[in-house]
Amino acid sequence: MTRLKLATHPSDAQLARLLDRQADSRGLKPLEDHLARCHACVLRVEELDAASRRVRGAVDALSTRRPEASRRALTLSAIHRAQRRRPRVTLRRFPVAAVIATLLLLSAFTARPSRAWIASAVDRVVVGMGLPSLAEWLSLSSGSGRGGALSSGSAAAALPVVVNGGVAGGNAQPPLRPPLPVLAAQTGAVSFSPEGEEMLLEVASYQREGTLSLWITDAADANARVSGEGKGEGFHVMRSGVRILNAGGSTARYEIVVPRGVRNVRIRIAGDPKAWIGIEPSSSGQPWLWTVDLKQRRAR
Amino acid sequence: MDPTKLFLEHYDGLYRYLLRLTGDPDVAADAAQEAFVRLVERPPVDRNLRAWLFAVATNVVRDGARSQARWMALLRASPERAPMGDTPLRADLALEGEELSRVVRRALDALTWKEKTILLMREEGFTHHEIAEVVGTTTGSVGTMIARALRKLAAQLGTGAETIR
Repeated sequence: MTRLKLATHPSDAQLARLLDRQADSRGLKPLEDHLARCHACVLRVEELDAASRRVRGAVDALSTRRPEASRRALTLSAIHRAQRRRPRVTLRRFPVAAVIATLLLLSAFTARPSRAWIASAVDRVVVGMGLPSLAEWLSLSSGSGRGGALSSGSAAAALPVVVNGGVAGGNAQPPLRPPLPVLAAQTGAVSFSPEGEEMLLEVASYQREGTLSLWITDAADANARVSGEGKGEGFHVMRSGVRILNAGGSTARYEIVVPRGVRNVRIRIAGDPKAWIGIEPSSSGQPWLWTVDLKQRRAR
Repeated sequence: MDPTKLFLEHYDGLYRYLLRLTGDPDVAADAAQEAFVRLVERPPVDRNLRAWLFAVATNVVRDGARSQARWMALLRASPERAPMGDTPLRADLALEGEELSRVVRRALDALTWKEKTILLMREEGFTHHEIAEVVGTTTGSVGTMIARALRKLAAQLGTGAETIR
């Protein structure tokens, strides 16, 4: 067995460790061996031990008083208060964090590109889950009759009425976004029955070219179809209308037949604020046509 | 972690240590209370709770001493800001005001803050490793500092004892 030997006299740190019984077994043996043959170091240990005893006695004499009972009670009370406070601190922080997160989301939602992106991302998730899209939820929760750029009090205009891209009031660039997923089952013509007197038309994106035509007829049901050169565009039928799933590079045209029972058609393109078209009852039975340009106007 | 249980286990020892460190019962009690409250509010993870309490309380006292030093410096600079009236006599100190106590206090105050902390924590039975964590040094250095502080304090006490006689 190899035995470690101290090459020199032990340091004060080693002696202090010995005195306080803090030396590990590996270091203790060589130390004891050294002390067995070094009288000077034994004297050092004794001197340190004497100092230690003296200090201990003095420190003990300094004060052995216990804290006053009232002071102990005060501290215990402070501990209990801190215990009670602790969960409240956590709960107090939660609403603050929630408010900050909501404000951040709202501020992001007011900027057109991020709003459109968020809306389409949420839609993709909720539609994938078989739930109504965000636009539909919004339409259900918001009141009707809010005017927009397309609001028209006299819808009994001569046909055709062409509204050139004023829906979004947009000089902004089309938002950048990944192309929307198009479900095969939703392509082609779809027929649907909007609930109530209001119909929502959602267009996922502005297009390179293309129009959205609204035919207001005496038909009982609404229907939508792609009439131009399509690139896999589709429709998602919602409870209150239809969402056109298109892409920015598309040049397709869309024809929507609106039944006469509908009094308001709300249009929303690429997440821009909704515009609405008011339809006045007419006994003439003449179909009306509204055309909306899906090409976004550029800033001049 | 049950703070009440920890209080019952460690409060007296912590108070005793702090009283020895500062010589002031109020400062000691305040620092001990602050350490326990912080233990509840921000409990340490994977730490020896007793050592943590002593470390926090030591830092509280040290920071308080620094503030006190700043305050005293301010008072020296503008004496008109000093509180009016005499410092009240401390009944407990008067009762405890034996010569030995004064000598020991004076001898302790002759040590550096670190030396005093190390020696008093050693008296409370902390290991060199735990003391090293509190004062922010290595375990080996603690041994060296203990030996030096013991000799220094013993020498101070010797001088004081002779003075008493």
